[in-house]
Amino acid sequence: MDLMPDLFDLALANQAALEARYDGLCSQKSEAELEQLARFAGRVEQDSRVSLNMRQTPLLSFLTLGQHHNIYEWARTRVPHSTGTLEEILRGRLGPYFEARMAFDHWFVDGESFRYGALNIGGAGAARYGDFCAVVCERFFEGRRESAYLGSDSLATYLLPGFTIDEARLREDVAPHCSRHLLAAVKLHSQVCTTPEAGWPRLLCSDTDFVEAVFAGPLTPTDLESVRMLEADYELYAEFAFEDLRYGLSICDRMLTEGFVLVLQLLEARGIPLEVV
Amino acid sequence: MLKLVAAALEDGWAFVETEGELLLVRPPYRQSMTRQVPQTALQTAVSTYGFEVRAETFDDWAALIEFLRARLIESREAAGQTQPQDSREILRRAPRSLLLKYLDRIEQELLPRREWQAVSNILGVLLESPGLHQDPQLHQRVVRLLARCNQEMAGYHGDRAALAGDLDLVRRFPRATQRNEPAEITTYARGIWERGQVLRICA
Repeated sequence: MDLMPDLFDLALANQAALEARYDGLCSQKSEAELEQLARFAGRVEQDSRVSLNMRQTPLLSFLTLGQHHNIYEWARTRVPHSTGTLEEILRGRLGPYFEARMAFDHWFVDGESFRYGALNIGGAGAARYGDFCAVVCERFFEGRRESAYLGSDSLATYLLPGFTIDEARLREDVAPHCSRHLLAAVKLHSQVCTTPEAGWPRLLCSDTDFVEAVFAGPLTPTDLESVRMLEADYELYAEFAFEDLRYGLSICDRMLTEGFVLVLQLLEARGIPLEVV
Repeated sequence: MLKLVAAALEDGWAFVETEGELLLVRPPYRQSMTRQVPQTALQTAVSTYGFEVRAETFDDWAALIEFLRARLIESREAAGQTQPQDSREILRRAPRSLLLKYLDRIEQELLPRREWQAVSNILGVLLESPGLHQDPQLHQRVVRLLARCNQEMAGYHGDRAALAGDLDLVRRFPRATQRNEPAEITTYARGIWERGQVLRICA
């Protein structure tokens, strides 16, 4: 019987291979390209953080309860209030995507402990899925074995038809925390060389693509160094507040506005800065 | 026909299929905020970002939006979000770029519409903004606008008070004073001033 692989061991084992891939790539670049690529890799190594996009309610619940819940942890909290089993709750939530989620997570040792985020060097992350971008501090990853990085969204990239894992591709890409910059550079080398530096944050992490961070261990609000949101999203809430002082708000808009005020208060109480970007 | 395929109902965000396109909609449900997204976004949204798979159809946008608003209210009430919060906090903490936009809006939209009470309330909140105290230029602009608002409001109320107060009614309204006593006209004018409109409500 095959042993289940440990994603984090695979990442650590791939460190040397990633370095070799990066060096091989560098040998094919012109001097100017090489300088640009090295600067990008340096910036990712120095400045990158893991971010998790959340909407208002998940963020409020994270800040209030003091604990981040992945889908399994969330489902376990539902079991006492439901007539369904854990699997039924997960199936109900994930619908046609249940098999894919299970296939990926259960292929690894302790896959149910995985938390998913994205590598980020600025900006509001994958704001399509949540207007608040919670940025995890670097301290959280220092000395943590349970962190790995994948080239892109894991389910969309490393899952083959029939819910089998593209093991060869995964083993080739997976990076440990100390080599995340090499994975980012190998993935984005051609775009980095033609994109001005100001565009790099968006290149690394956007609605459409990102380097996926997979990590385990309890995540609490004290592990956040900031929460970012787009100015356009802040403006939306400010507009609600503005209209509240003119004509008042509908119940729905009032609830969203008051929810945002709660977010602001909880962030302040926990000493987490809100950055409008 | 609109098909709701996934949603985060507590926040009112939803993925909707219509005419072969997948759209992401979110409050306040303006067309400008509705975005077409690829099908792959649906799997990511559900598998990683906590969206829930749904399967409801709606005849039109109004019905869908009504559904989403009702579910948002319902789930937040169930979660106990009932304590009122002070929305002014958002304006107080707004970044400079937004404060500038709001000052422009006050100047170009609210003051010409004589929304003095709202202007006074909003500027009062902005004056408490911590960012304003480190920005003398912006602070001055807020103070100037507040002074202008107070001046316009005082002038307007002065005119209205004069209209309803002691003035030469016979000279200004000769035909009315032929039919009514000046005291009656003054009482009538005061009534209009107090109601804020010429006709009685529901008249």
